[in-house]
Amino acid sequence: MYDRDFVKRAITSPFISYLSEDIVRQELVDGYKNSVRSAIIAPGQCDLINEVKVEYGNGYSRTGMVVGYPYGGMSTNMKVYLTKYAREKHLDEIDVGFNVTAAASKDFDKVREEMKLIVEAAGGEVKVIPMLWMVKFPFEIVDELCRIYVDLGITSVKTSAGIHFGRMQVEHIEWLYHNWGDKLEIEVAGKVRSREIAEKMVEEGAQFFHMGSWRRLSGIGQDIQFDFETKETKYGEYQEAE
Amino acid sequence: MTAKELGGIMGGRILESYYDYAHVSNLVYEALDLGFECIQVFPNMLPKVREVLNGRSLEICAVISYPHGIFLPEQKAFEIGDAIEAGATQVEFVVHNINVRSGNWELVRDEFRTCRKAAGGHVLKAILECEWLTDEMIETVCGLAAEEGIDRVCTSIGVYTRPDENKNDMLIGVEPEDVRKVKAAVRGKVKVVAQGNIDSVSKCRELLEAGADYISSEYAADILRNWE
Repeated sequence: MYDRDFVKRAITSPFISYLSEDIVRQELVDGYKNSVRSAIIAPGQCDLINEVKVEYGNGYSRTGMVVGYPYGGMSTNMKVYLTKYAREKHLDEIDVGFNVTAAASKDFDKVREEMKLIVEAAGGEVKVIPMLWMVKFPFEIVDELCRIYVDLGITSVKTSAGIHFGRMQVEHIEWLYHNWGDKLEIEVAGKVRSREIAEKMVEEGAQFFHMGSWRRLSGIGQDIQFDFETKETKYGEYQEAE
Repeated sequence: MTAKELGGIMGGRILESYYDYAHVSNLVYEALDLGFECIQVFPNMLPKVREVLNGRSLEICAVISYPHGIFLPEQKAFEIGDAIEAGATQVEFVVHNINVRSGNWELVRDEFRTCRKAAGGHVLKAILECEWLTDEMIETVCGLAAEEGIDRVCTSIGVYTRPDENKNDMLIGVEPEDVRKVKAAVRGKVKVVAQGNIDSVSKCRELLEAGADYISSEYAADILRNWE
């Protein structure tokens, strides 16, 4: 069933490689028409999103770009370069992949140093929303990442990514909201595929949902599906596990 | 083929979110010990690789615009230049597959040309994602790679999943058929790297028999140690 309130929590990000440009455009247009919370694109799609925004901007939906997403494996120079690019393109926000290798090594000074440079490059004009990789890292590391982000004046986090194994659980949100919910807005990402789970997450403090299933979970239509036999991408019946 | 010969065409890679500095060090030591052709790492791992190498020689490949590849050519060029300055001796970029799937061939050509220029004389590899591409797309993109001087074409990034019959997520891996298609499409003008979840000796053999010129794997050391 269509749920306007849920759509306003949804974040779409049409840049997975099996899309074609017509579907990318359709996702952005429909996102704005339905007033999703944000539309996030890859660095090579900024002109497209700005073009769509001119025609379909609604005063609510925000535009964003990924920087070092999702592994954060890019150099600091590259992340700063992309942040400045997002600023030049007048985007509202960037989703940032932190230095996962440093975090996994508990070299938090390195993580902080890089994020500080990114925040400076954003210049207060572009909201910085870093990831946490909650499906991979123990709470001990997530906790330290949150501490760094809050120290740097960051006010929102993205919980994970949907590109790989591991799904966000309600317990992740419960922990995150309990420990950092008064300082950090929670944007859930990481294979949330059912409305029931999403609603439980909202009850636990989640505010927004970065997901490929925003149409289905909002009651608007079907998800994008890739047919491995025909190599076609189209809107179709849901195929993945819930 | 001996294990030593296999090592000469083997790339070891650690491109995930859970690897720490010890994994980076270990990859370097394994590569030196077992004679990998190269290692493939994130750009932010380059300083650690150079520190561990401490002057010893090893081909270091940095992955560019990884994993989704939807960047402008000039953005890829910036990252390539930055990685080379940081010590990469090879670079491997993910092709803008939305352009490939949309038939924007002049944009793909421009991307290849720009990356070639940015890489200079360093080995330049382009990562396709065969799992998303039709035979015709593979044929055309490989033809462009050959025309624009790409040194090696890689079959896959290997990070995506697809549901199995029980709707469980399963990693998508490179198949011998992917190698055969790419091998035929490059017509001997570009080397072919099989990569994407190659986790066993038997899989490695299948891919070599299909025509792979190079193998790239997270399990490179295990495969070499178990090679007979």
